Amino acid sequence: MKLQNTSWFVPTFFWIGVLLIWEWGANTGWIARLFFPAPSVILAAFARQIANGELLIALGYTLARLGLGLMLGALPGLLLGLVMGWSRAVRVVAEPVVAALHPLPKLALLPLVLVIFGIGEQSKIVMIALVAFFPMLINSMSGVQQIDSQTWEVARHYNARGWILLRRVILPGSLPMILAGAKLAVNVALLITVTVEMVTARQGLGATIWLAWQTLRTENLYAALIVIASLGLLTNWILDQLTARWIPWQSDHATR
Amino acid sequence: MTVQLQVAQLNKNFASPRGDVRALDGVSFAASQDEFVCIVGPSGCGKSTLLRLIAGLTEPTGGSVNFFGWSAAPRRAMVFQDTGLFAWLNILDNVAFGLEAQGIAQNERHRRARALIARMGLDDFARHYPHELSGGMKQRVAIARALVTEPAILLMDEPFRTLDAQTRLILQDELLRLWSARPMLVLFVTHDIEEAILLGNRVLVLSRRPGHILAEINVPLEQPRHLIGRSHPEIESLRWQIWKMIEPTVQANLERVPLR
Repeated sequence: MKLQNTSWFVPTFFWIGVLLIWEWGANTGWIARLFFPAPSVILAAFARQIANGELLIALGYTLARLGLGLMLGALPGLLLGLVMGWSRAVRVVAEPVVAALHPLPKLALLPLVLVIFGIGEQSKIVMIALVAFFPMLINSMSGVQQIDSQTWEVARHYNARGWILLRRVILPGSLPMILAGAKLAVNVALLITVTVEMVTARQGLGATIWLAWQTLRTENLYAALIVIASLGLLTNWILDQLTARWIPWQSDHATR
Repeated sequence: MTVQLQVAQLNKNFASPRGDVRALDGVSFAASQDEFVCIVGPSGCGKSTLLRLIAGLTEPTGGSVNFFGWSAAPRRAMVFQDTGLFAWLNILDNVAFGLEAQGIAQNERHRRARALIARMGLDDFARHYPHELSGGMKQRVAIARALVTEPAILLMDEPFRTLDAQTRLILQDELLRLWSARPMLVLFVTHDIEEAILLGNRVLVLSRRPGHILAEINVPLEQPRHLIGRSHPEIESLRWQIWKMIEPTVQANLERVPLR
């Protein structure tokens, strides 16, 4: 009981203390205000830009790009991964290409993507889709491959085919790895969305950060960072909830 | 006319990097449609391979498996060694899986699965997942999953291997009662000589690899048998007789262990 109390008590007060020292240090000039504006100043900038809608509009742009990129990247990655895991023939054909492209830092492709798709929305979506594609593909492929041989044998013994094989064996059997892949895909897609917005966008959270840097409005930069961090936390929380709900046979172990 | 499973001169080779390994070498036997036949032998003698060949899960290198007197190939259902239950399906869907694969509608397959789950005494666990069940309960589910497809031949691959002695005795007794209530051909693989004698009308003793049949032994115990609370002094000599056949291989296996 005592331990449970201190487990939130100590860190909470520690971090409140850190914030208070930061506030005091920034106000007295002991900490450079240009780099580390006082928490109260950041909070005020955050509140102001939420109230006038600037941050929410930026968030909307970022979310739209992220969502569209994931749909066009992670979804095909999932499907191709499942097929590659299922069919040796497809795997033999596609694996060398995947192996060659996957380790390539996708940001190195940005200039090429800009040349091909122009500076508009298309190139951004393509970049996001590209980075979301590979972790999803690789995880769903190994998800199918790690289904144990006895499971396959049972399925074959009862003549499970087609849709039933997919729905009852392949999808649920690979689901833990698929969801782990989804988490990777979402996180790297968020990273690239913000990066691409910094370089080529006028709207979006990445663009907000870039503008704040160029105008040296550091408090706005921190305000945008708060939104991005919250977005990351939220997407990860959602995926953890889905994992707990869809994989009861594993999450039960974890919580016990 | 007798309706029989006839296994004739069955050979099975497995390819390995050091050349082919012969798992089975000329296995022949026959078993009629309502027999309980146990197959006993030292570990690694190809017992499981024999079941898989009869199940049609793998093809023989030579010889044949014939179903004599059946109008079509009889339905065979296997109870797998480590249950082979799907961790992601609840008990109801696990049991109904074979029916679902046959394309039977949900109402019908759930009705039939529930009936068997009830017979196995698992009514309260239909919505549970396998990891929430004990080893003995999981094995009951595995048996229910095989029986729900109403097989003519039930193939059991060391199903009670991992269970403790008490649970094993209960499940053995249950299995005999299920079998007397609904006769079918049961082929039961085990390495436990006593289990083979207690359950089978007949025991086939397999040799070490490459496996072939050393002896066919008729068990003089009457059916129906009740295993719980009985001792069976009359089987002692049978047990000894089978052990003498298997012992040299077990000894050889033991001596090989440190070399692996």
